[in-house]
Amino acid sequence: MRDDIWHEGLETAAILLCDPKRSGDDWRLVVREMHVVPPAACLVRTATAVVVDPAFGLPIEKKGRVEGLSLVYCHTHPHQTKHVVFSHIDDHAEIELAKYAEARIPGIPHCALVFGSEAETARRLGTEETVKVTDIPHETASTYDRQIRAFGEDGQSALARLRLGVVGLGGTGSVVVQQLAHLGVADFLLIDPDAVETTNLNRTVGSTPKSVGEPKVSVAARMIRSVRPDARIEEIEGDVVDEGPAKRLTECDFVFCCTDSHASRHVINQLAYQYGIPAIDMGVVVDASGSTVTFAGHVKALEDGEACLWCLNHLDPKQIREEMMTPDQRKADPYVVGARVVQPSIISINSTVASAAVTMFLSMVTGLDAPARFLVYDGNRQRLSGVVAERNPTCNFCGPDSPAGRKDLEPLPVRRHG
Amino acid sequence: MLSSVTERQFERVKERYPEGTLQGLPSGAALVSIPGIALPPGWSAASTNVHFLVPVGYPGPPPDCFWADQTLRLAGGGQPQASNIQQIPETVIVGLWFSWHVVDGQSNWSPNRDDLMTFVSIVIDRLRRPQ
Ligand SMILES: [Zn+2]
Ligand SMILES: [Zn+2]
Repeated sequence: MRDDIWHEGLETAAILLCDPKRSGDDWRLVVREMHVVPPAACLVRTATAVVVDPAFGLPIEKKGRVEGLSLVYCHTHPHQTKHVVFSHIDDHAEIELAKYAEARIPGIPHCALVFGSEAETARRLGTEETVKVTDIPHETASTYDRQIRAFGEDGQSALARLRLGVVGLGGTGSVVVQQLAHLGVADFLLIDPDAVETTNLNRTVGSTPKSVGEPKVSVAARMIRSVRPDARIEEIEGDVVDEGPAKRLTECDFVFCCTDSHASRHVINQLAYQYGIPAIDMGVVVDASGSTVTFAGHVKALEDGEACLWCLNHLDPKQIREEMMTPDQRKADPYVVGARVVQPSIISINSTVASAAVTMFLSMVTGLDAPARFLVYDGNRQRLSGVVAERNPTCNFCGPDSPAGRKDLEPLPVRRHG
Repeated sequence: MLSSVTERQFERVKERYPEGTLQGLPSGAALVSIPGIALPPGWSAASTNVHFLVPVGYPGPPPDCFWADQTLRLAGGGQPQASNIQQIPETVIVGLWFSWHVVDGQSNWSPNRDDLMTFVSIVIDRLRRPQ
């Protein structure tokens, strides 16, 4: 903004309209509109003074009154650099301005902001009460405008701050990260051991025929960067059932489980409760073995107070045992059945479930009003419904005697390489 | 490090078999050993040591299979069904491996209902039927 109004020799001015947000005893003013005062609207404009024609301010102040916005009167001090202070003239002028602003738009704070060439100082209009000025990247105000209208500036900045772990970057995971990138998530940890195969191209969002053979995490990272070039992305081409990748996941603020491996889901389920890191598990099943195709899915939040996947009997112990085996162990065990049957998969069904998961995430993080924490998708009936999930009060994974909340005091259920 | 759930469940095993031991293994699995389990007639010995692995990720996945003394045979000297001599992974112990997936393919295992004592009972039950 300084760049927009700065003049080397003469004082310049602008008026901002800001959304006033109460947070506790404090206020936060988020700039919504900036009105630069053109030279023609200055009654006085010298190296040490600028006086704005009241006629310029009138429509802006009127808009502020109608929409309940705070006024921030800005001007520059061309002779000041890093040490920026209000002048006596400013002190004097603000007394009347403060009375005027309070009379026009009462009950919310209005401010004065003065720019030097390298710094700025702000205060509540007509007082010595200083106000902190922080930069929100320009994109937050414009790119995410439609979102901010839905879940607020606080919700948007929460999204921008979170480190998101996404495990599995296939059918649902690729959709999830694409949506997260558009939403403004900027810090990703991606975990998947697999490379893209030709048969994945039908449903891996962001893949192209050239992606065959490329790690799924790399395809996902490239897609995220195409949406958000500034995103911080770490790619782990590994299995979350192994200790290394699983430990890295404990650095995240939120985890998406987008894998159909029961062992991975077991690990993430426990990690969520043990480390208090909220997670969302999702799954899609398309069954074409009968005479008709049936398809269904689920989305389940895993967080303190919510039933876990074991409470719901959603995990298969036998399958976990087999998936936890190393390839050598699997080969040595004559009872383990061979390659798994290839399941049908359809991008639109994956996307329905992934979208429901992302919306649940928004509800958990921004407070968006969508309280269901267990959703069941009945594809054939095209019905997505919230379901009550009963907790098992003695659950070994989320109950009072479980590792829940014990963080590093408990081992994660992962393969270690001793 | 062993999970507190495993340790707590093992305390129940110890109440019944005070000589039993629980030992963590490098992979994250653990070894339960119970010495001197009495055997019914039909076996070549009156008792055997028993070992089984608590798998990585327990109690999610159930234990599976067990080992008896490598010298154990049926009373007539024959090899018990579905058994062979094998070293226990990550240990120096060589035993007679009963490769039965003794929990009925674990299909009935429920980690919020079953515990290590459930598995010990399954092992004992198998040994009650010499074949
Ligand atoms: Zn001034
Ligand atoms: Zn539970």
